[in-house]
Amino acid sequence: MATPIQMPSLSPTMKEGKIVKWLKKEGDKVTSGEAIAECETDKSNLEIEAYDDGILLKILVAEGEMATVGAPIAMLGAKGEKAEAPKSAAPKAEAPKAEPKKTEAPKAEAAQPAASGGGDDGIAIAMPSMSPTMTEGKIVKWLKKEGDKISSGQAIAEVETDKSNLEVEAYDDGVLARIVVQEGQTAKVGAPIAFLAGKGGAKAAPAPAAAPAEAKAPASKPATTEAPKAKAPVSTPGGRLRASPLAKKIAQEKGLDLSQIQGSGPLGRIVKRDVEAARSQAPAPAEAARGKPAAAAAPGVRPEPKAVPVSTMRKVISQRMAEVKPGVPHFYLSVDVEMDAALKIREEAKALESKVSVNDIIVKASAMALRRYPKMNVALQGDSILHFESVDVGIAVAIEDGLITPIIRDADKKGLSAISAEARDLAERARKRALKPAEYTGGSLTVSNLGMYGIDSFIAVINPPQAAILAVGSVSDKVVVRDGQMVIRKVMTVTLSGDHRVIDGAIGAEYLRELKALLEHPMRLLF
Amino acid sequence: MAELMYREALNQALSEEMERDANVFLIGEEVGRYQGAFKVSQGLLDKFGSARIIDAPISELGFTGLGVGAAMVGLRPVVEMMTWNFAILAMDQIVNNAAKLRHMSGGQLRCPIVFRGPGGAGGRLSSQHSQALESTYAHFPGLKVIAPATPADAKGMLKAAIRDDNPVVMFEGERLYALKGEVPEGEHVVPLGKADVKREGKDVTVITWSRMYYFCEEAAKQLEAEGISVEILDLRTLRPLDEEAILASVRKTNRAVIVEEGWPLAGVGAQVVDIIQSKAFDELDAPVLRVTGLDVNMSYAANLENAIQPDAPKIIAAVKKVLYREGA
Repeated sequence: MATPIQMPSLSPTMKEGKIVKWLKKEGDKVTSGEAIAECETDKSNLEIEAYDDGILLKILVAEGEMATVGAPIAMLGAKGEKAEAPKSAAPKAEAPKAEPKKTEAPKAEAAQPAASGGGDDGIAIAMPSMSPTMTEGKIVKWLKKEGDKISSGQAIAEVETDKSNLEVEAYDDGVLARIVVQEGQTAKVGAPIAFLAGKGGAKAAPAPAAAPAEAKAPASKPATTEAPKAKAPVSTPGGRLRASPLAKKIAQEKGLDLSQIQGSGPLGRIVKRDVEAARSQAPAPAEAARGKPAAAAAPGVRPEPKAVPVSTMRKVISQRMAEVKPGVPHFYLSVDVEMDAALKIREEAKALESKVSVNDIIVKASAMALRRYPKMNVALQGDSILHFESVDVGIAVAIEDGLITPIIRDADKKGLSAISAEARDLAERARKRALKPAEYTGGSLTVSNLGMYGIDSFIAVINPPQAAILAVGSVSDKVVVRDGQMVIRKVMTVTLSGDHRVIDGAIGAEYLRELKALLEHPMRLLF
Repeated sequence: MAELMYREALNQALSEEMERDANVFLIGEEVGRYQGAFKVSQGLLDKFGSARIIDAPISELGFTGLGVGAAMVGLRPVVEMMTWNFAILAMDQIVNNAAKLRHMSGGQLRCPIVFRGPGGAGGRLSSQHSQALESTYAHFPGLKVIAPATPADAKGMLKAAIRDDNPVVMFEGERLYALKGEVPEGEHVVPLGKADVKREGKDVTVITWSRMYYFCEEAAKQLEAEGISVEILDLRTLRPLDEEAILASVRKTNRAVIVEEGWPLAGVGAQVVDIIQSKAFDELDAPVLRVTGLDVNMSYAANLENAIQPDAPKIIAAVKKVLYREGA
């Protein structure tokens, strides 16, 4: 059987490699250990060796093209055998082309078995990348069923990304020949989720080898009753999850969901070390914290913790936070703001039947302060510092099992009622996971408010690639000293976390001074 | 403990068993006057006389048949093959008679006989003299097949084979005869059917026997330097296979590589893979790999001869592959 030759990892930091030169051509005999191609890694040019004997049936990645580590670059097999490219992840690591409709095309082609481009096996519909951080998506609902006619541009499925639920569109006309990722299952970006039979009535591809992982965790039952045999999440009729027998066994014993685990073996096979790593990072059971105190267990019997699979959003949050906290050098500045005057605005707005929250006022003030201190309205991108021309402020919205920061564009120019209406709309749609990518990308500063939970002050982690975040605490009555007298004021603590690579403490301090002045004298918001 | 060559250990076993039991005799080409083609029977003619150390003409089928007949009537013959390549001529006696006598006679006849001699590549002896034929004999019910790697095992297992009431086929690595090792003196009997963990490890089990064991050791040492802990299981007996030991080790390391000098198709290693996959499937973290001789006739040229056989680099590559470390 033809087997793929994968792009090897030739250095500890290598993520992808460019094929500089093929040392063998299609049809050539290859022996184990023989150099078959020259590869440019992030460090140097090295030779790729074959690990098996056979005939080089097909070259999948042409000279000059890139492939990610682990992606198939060629097919090896017996003489005369038909080379069938693996339908796993898209082998090419090409940057998506500018025109959105075209972005999916190379992936679809790559996922196809033959180079004929829409030949007998149908056209693969690949999981599109719908946000900058999306690596996989879950099929929430198929909007078309097998056998349905589809035209280009038509929505065929609803997909849950790490940020929101979006529709996947078809890029070709044809008939939906085969759904390979079922509802509730996830698929990596670039992996085929369905196959489209072409206009000529071409056949659909056989079951692909892609790894649309199963979504449902067979949550292990507490050991109170007779241990029912939980079914191991193995393969489903539509998809295939690569995991070693041992990994499957351990996952079953520990109640871990293999579909939530990233495999480190060949073709993404989940092996023991992956399951063990996942076990050590298993999330705290979400529901255990609240609710009734645990019923008295039989003496000596300790209830097993319940493993709840990590959601797509939580996974991305955990990855990004783990990157940003050690990766971005934070500095923190705190200031107390007297909010009596600002609260008065809210009262006045109420009288006008206009709903304005404290947070809306803070968003407006933080935006105006950004406009006045453009050194704060920046972000680091590679070797450049981006200076934003507009003032776009993110608002952190806690949603079920996650957090998202939709952006209020031109917040400095908008009135409080406009900001208020927009914020409410964005928050509501965020909770429904209905935000569009453009609504939560960009911006240079986020306002994160935990005041409503009674938190006095806290330190927030910067939301990359932004350069600052404002952590807002609750407004409470505090004693302050005015002209040697103790007076009671409505006081709120604001803490700025700044990316010290682009913002310095003094700039942050000036910004906070301006913010404080704006909030304490809200009349200034008008000027 | 005395340090003996593999051939001296065998000699000691023969000598001790012939002293112990007057029914034991040795027959083969050049075992007497010439003292053995590989000097295994050195000194035995003087010690036991020509009635028990019998020089046979070049007639494998004939003297093997004589041995089988002798075993049928109560003697305990040891039939030496100059090499196992020549024993192909005597296969009818070994597999059709010796292996089946007990069955064909309804249990009335026993066949306590040992067929022994060198096997495997000999060192530039080309294809007719360089075959590792263990799997051929391991195929037949009724035979026991052994292939010790060390001088100590060679002595202990030959003694056990001579005492066994069933026909035993013993492969001695042709290139192991001069290899030295510590050998217990006197009553040292290694039970047949028991594998031996020659090296403890935790990352991967390498299963092997006979001369290949030494390549495995070499590979394990190099891999250890890279932080990979290899367990080496020396099967020693190829029929019956020590399933318990195989499964215990694979359950410990979750990964296995089988190293076999013979050809890949229908090799003993294939049987080991079957045992592992059918009885320890859920314990595996990677497919089981085999390193075997190449599927060709043995070359005469030294470089090609080496290329055809398993060696440490091939074993290292296979180990890394089952550990998903290739390319690392």
